Amino acid sequence: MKRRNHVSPTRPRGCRDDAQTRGGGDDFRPISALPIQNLVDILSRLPFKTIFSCMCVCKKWKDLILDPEFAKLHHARAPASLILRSRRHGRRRGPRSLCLLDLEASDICSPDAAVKFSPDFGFPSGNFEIVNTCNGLICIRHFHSPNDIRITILNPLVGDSITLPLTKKKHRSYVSSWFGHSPETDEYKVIQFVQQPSRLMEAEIYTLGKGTWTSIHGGTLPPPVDLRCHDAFVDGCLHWIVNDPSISEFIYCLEIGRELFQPVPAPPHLGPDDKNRAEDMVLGVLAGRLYFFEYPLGDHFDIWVMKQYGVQDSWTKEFILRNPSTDLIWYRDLYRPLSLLRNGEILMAHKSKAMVSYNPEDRSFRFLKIYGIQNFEANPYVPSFLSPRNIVNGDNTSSSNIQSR
Amino acid sequence: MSSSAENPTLTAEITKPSTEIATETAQSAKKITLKTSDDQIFEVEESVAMEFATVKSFFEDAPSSTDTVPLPNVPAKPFSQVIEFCKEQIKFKANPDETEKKRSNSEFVKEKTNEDLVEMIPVANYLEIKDLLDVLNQAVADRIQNRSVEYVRSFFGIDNDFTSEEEALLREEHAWAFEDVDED
Repeated sequence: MKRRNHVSPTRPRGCRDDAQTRGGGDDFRPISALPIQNLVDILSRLPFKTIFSCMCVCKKWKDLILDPEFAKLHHARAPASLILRSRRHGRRRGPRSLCLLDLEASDICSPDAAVKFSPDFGFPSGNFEIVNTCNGLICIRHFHSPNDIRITILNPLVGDSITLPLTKKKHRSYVSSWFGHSPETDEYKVIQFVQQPSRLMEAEIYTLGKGTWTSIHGGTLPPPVDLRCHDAFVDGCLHWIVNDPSISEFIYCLEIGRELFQPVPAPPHLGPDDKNRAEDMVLGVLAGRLYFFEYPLGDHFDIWVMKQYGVQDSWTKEFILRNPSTDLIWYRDLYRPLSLLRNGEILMAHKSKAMVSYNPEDRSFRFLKIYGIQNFEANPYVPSFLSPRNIVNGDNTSSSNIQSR
Repeated sequence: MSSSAENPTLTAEITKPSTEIATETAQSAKKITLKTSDDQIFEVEESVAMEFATVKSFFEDAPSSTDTVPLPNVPAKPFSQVIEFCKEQIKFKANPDETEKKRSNSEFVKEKTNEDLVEMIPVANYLEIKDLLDVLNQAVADRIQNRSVEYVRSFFGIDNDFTSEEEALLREEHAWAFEDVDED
């Protein structure tokens, strides 16, 4: 067996000596004799980088790892992560870098926590934006030309993607699109909100595997969608703030399984007089629960969390962040809470370059410098080995297995 | 194996500190006799044996049985270590302390060789000891994470059945995954 430059027998690791790490011994029973489910279980606990190298161990392991059942097991254990993409600045047209940041790493600022995606991870070479992510799949809008904007669902880890067909409708004014999964129906859907010339909003939906865009419920008009709404998916429902004064509810959702629009109870302190401030209200998701806050923030920033889904009284002012500096103005979109870290801190994207974490215990802010990337946009992501083509399974979308170069 | 050959009747107490043997004898708890695949006889306290789901269901079917329970898929060496683990576990049943349990579990795997871990997995699987299986699988994963392909093959005693061309192609496709791995 070829083992060239890896040999370094003197390096101690933990309390194990070299004989132990070799796994030698006369009556050593190879683990390949283990029941398959134990082997798969072990592999599913590995960081995805090691899983890739494990595909090279032998043919059996490669097949195990590429099996859809492995993808499910692995995804359930995969660490909460972020996809970071550097912003374009100035007139430089060089490629924007992408990296995957492991939020469960012991130090998210260490080089080990960030894996850089080179352009060959299946991302299109042209101009694109990341819409959102779901179950390890990334939804991107890809700009071929002003009249040809495609939506692609991509898994950079398996180098597999599908591009949705264009909708037959002419969209005068695009508003936003979102990608989500319904746990009830186990379907993946892309929702597209568009504004017709009449100013009316329309919603179209595309189910992966079905192959066509359809209007929701024969053209039911959705409540107006805020252009700047964030990725607020909880349990297969996409949420947004309704800022139309003629609608009394503050929050609406689209249940993507049944394709129904429904109002969702808002924090109880909001009354009819607050409707005129709806533009300054923000929704998002922290640890699987819907959160709410509003600008301007003043000297503190209150994050409300709906602890029990659909129950108005369960809205709780969970985090109160004190402004660290009196001369800093907390303008809109200054902070965007992204994730709860293992140590209890709230990780937030910051409008300037960095990422910020807030420690609720000692009320301190910490600027985080992520290894190898700065001035980026961030999207929550959980890595998976799910293949978009397996989901589609006979759909008429164009699919490609992008070979990395 | 050599030590067990000199000592044909292994009992679970072997792995116990002497003070605890004393208390056990004083309580004279009910013992269950188990026979391993290599014909070693183990006398195990009932509460410990009930941690083995397979053995437990045996006694559910035949509650008054005093027969020796055969364990055809379980060799003595890993079995004695499994007993060691289960004895620790039942302490936490009476007195749940998650932090202490975690510390105890990590202590348990820390002093085991790779061979020990690998041998215990099929035993834990056969006896259906979920907690132990979880601990062992995680311990093995921790020992191979961020290691080279060659290391993983040697750890598990696996022969490479890829042609050199196939392997080169796989490595090229995901070259990043092969960078910065821990040294062997």
